[in-house]
Amino acid sequence: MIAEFGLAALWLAAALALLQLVAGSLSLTGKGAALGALVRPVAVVQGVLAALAFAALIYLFSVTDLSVKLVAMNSHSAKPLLYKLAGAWGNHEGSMLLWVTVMGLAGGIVALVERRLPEPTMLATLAGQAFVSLGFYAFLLLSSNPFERLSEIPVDGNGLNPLLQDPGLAFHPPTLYLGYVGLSVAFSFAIGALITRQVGPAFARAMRPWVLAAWIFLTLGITAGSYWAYYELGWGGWWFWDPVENASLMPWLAATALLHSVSVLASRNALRAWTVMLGVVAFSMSMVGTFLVRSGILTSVHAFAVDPERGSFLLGLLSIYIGGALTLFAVRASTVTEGERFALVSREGALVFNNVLLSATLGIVLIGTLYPLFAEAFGAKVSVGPPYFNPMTATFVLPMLLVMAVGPLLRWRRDRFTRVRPALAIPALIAIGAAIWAASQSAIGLLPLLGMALGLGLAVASLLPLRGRNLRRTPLATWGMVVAHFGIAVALIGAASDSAFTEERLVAVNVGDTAKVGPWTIQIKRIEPIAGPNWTALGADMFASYKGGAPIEIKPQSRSFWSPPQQTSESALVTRWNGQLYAIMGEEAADGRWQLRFWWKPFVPLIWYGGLLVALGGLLALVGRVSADVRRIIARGKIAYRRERQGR
Amino acid sequence: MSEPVKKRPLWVYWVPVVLFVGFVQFVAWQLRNPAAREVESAMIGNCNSRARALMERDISEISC
Repeated sequence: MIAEFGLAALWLAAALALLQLVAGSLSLTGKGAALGALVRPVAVVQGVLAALAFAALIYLFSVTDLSVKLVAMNSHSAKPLLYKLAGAWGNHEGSMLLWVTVMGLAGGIVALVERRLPEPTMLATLAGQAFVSLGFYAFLLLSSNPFERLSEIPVDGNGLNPLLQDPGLAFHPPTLYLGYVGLSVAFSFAIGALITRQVGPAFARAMRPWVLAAWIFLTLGITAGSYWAYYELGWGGWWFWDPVENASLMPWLAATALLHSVSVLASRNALRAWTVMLGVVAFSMSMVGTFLVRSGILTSVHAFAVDPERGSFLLGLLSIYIGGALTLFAVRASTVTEGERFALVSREGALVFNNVLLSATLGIVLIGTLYPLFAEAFGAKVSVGPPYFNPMTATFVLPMLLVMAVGPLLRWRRDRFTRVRPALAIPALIAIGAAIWAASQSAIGLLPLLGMALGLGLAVASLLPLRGRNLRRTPLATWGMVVAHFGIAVALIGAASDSAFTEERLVAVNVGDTAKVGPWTIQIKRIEPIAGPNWTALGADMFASYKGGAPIEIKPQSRSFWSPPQQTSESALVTRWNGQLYAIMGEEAADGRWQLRFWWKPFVPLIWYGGLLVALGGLLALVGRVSADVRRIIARGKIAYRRERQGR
Repeated sequence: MSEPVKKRPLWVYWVPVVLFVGFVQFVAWQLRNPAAREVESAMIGNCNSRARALMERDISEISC
């Protein structure tokens, strides 16, 4: 019954999306002006219905209702509750339902709270949001029904991919989805503004909180995904340019560029057409990434829905939305002026430079992700990895770091480098000192050296916008910028340090033997069997000692899940202020020895602390912007109330 | 103060559309030709070959 209720809610939500689209479009033509009044309430109800459908699916997974095909395929009665719930979005159909739910709720919130834009622009925006939602509702209902029943109920379910049975993975997909779909709101705002030709500061101020929120979630999702891959996959790396990683990075790069250009538009009424274009590109990248991973056209460890039929459906949606938006842009962009002028050396100039570099980086990642496809078209089978991505992206990212250090110190409209040069002397000296020190470490490569030097310089430079200010009166948005830029520097230092100084040891040893990696000595005490709720494991009990200090017990495991049958490595980590010891357990050899792998990774946790700082910076900026908007709305309300009273 | 509409060549605005149409045509062709469309993930198991070598060659320690 719950499954039928969920399906009915989904159909109803789809019907309301159609109504929202038709009513919004007709009211814009002037033929059905009265229908415009329907659009906002319909958007809210549509969001609520989508949320109810998703809640129904969550319930079905929580009670392991095996009469529902999706539950039987992706859950198991022996799974812990958290992973039963995570199973709801750990598959194609459920994650698409989460997608439309977030999209519906976001449209509902826009309809409820956004009052700054002219009503025609709002109607066009909500109609655009309904148009996008409608395609995904059709995709779900016609080719990926999450509530499909089975004629014969199985004894138990197939379970969830063991790699996904991890707390990090329970939260990573929804977080990323909030980011992807948040960008759909920016996309709809861009479409609405193009249709009504209302591209100005009000449009940018309405769009900015949504871009910020999406960007925060994307940052958190990517950070969580990277840490999950690091400790769960057992290869000791944190980023490998896998297609699915690139699929999340591309929207983040576009959203970062959009975030900066939307600030210029909101503050200085410049970069109008560019901001609209980025609004289209950011969501397009979310869709392209989703298509590449789900269509089966590229496969990776995450490609859980390799299905060319669904791929064709997604490609159709992609063509309609992105093709339509780009065509609309081509038709209308010539009527959108670029707005206020500014000098090359100015805050706007730095932001434009940053935008160009971010866009170039996005292009590099897109080309590298698609290149295997092009190569295959000519009969060659290639895999593009770090040897391409690392130097190519560094070519654009390293200059971007310099702009990040200088840009926030520049004035709007026009400035001089000579004015900010004295302030930058200290970060420059720190960067040069770090480079000299790093170069003295014999084995360090050029990129880690530059990364470490520029990271340290940027860490100091990012704090400079606070100098001479009353810190308690500094706007939250400024704090947000400082914290986010500082976070980028921290993450960069972690990545450079990991790349430059990591030590790895792969050993085959007997119980009682010791192994060394970096400053650590590890003694293997015993190997023992362990039983979990839906797995069994062989666990190594080891004692790790840092430079001869007190031993710390670590227990890596090699787990065997029985439903579905799969083996995973559970790493054991010891985190110190200056790095992380990483241990994983391999297989037993015929002679009774055990394979073990150890890494000593100096300062590697800084990568994820940096990611969290970047997200925190975004959150501070979001709270600052939204609270300023709320204060402005209250003040306007008070003024209007006083005028009304005076009028009486 | 807003400046007047810039006289940028109109074809510039159509470049993204053309690139996108090319992309769609290409991936549509790839979808219709599903053979050998798998790109191996480099994300997992990248040291497995070394681990196998370790056991086969009976050496006790390798610095990766």
